Amino acid sequence: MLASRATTSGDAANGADGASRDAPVRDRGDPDAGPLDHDHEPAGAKHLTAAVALVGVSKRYGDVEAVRDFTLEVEPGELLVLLGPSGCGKSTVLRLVAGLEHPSEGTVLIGGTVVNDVDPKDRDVAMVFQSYALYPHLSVRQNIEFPLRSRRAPARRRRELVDEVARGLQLERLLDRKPAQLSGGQRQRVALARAIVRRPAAFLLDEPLSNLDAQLRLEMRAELVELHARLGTTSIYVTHDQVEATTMGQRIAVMHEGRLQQVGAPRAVYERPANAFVAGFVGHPPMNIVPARIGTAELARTGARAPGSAGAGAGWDAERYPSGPSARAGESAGAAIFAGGEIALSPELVARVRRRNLDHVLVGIRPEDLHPDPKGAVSATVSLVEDVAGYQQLSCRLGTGQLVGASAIAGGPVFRTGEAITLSALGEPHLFDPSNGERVDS
Amino acid sequence: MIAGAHRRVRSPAVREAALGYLWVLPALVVFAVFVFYPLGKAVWLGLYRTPPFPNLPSKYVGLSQYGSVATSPPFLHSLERTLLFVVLTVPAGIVLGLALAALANQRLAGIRVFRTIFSSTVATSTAVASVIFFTLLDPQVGLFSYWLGKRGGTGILQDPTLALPAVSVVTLWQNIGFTFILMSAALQSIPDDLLEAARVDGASSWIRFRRITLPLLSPTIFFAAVVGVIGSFQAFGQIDLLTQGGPNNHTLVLIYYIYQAAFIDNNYGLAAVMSVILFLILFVLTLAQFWFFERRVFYGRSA
Repeated sequence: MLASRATTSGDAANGADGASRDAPVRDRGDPDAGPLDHDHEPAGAKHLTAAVALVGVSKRYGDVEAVRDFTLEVEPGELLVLLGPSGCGKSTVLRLVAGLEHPSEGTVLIGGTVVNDVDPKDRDVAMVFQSYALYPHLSVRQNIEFPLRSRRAPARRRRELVDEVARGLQLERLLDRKPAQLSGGQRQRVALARAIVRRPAAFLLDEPLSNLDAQLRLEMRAELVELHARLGTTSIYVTHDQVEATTMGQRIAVMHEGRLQQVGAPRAVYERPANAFVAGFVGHPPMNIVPARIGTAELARTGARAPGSAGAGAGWDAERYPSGPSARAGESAGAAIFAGGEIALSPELVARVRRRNLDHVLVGIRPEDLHPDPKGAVSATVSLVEDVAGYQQLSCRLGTGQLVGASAIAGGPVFRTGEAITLSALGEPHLFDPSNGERVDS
Repeated sequence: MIAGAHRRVRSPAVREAALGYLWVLPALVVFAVFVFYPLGKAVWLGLYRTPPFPNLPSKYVGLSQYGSVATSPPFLHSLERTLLFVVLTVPAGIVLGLALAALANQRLAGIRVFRTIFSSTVATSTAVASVIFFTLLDPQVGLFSYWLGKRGGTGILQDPTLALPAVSVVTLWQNIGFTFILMSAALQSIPDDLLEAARVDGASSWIRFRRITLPLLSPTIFFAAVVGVIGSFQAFGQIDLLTQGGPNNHTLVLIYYIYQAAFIDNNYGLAAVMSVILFLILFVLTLAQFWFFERRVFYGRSA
């Protein structure tokens, strides 16, 4: 249940809240439920058909919870990218799959089999480390054949397989060298070759490109995608680089503070971020997220929030809106009002906001959707102009002091630092609940 | 005069070299006085036969004394005892030190206690170690004698077959702390990534040790072997305190034989000849170890 939910494109799996709300199957209060209680879920559950699955996995180091209630399925043959800022637990997830860490709670499955107690050497997964972890005392050939030797492949077979993989990755001339004699890109290839050579059930790649220079990274990125297309092996790719994630992944899974935030196709995640974190993390330059008030005559008249609005939100509101919600002259009902301007919302969106009893929201507008416009409703001062080929990328300071990104369309007027402008947004903004960051129309 | 002043302006390379020699001069002086001069003096002393009675003139016999000593049965016996002592102490010391280091390299609660215990022997002097073991090996009150069922009989240190092994055990025990520290440091310098990669690559813990850890430890093992061999050839304190070369010369290692010849028998000629031979043996052994290990040791980046 939880499983199918988390894999739906663009859907949020908002950690424990989401799990307890949507997954009645999992009785978290059951004292007898051990870490393997997921075995008793109905047969045919999605994680049994997945190539790699994590079900309700947590990992604690003492008091630190690196991964919290993490559920994710990786489809057979898929290239899934685990994306998140450093320290979000994405590498830990990879290590849990590899077996280098043991889950504190939950189940890890590979090919439908629970592998919680299976040693890494018996898991049939291959890992590419950020450092490449090449064996420095062994030649390139010995490095690549190491996994075959461990599995006692006969010498002739080893030689054939190594030659074949080396050919595919242009390593033939380097087979007798030691890792220290290779360039960064060549070491990267050797690490890949060592992973590929034994045709594992899944590849685990831990930031494999982060030690390469920018040019080489672009090349290897394309090469990796091509390699995946050729081999069709299930792959989990960990990165903190959202450009890498959105260009490489068939699906991306965004993590933050140990929790899975959203899983989906890159475009779906980009277009409908499940919460304010994902909205701010995916996309470059990052989405502008501005606190705003919902202009409604009703709310203004009562002068108080409707019952049920989040308690946590009160303090947040008081901090940013010392004046509190009150009717102002000339404001439109059902518009998001911020920084002296307002942005119109569709009736559906307004209805969603009403249903959640929100009088304040976080408005998300991507810089590429925010443009200088003489008829714009939000006034701002240009504080930085960056000329990107063809257009201008602007940083603008709002009346509230907040900086927002905007873009000036190619061929339009040229803007200068210090210029006072007005901005208007294209399309409908993203709205998030200020109390928990959740998307309002999720 | 004017010409001389001109000649004093030398090229920068020469001046730099002169400065370099000036800096190493103190070290050279120390080496000359305490190493090169005694070595030369020992070689020279070996050319003279010490007279059988004091106050008689020593007789120049040239290199013949070297030949006669090198083939004499007492010397060969002593050499054999020395080699046996090295064989008993060095390989076992490395294996034990490495094993303890591997054990203490686990991430376990309280492992520091074991690290401290295993390395503690480095802080004991040879004299202290010898006195402790002398008591333990005592035929009347010693624990070891009791365990080996030799209580009241011939002491272990007095037993011709057990004396050298017993002295070796004391030496092993005393050296284990140093080897342990060496091996622990080397183990900790191996990146976790490599061993984790090997785990994922399907290597069992034995294969990981054999194919990853051991090769990466080879420079340290080499160092321990060279230092250990030299140390065992020069072991003196424990022999002097435990057996004085006995029983029946069964623990009469070369260095102790030299000491006896020089300071008990006052036979400086004999002592000098054996010292030079010991020096040559160590020199050749060390060269051989370098030659052997150079081809097998992996020195990280440079390989």
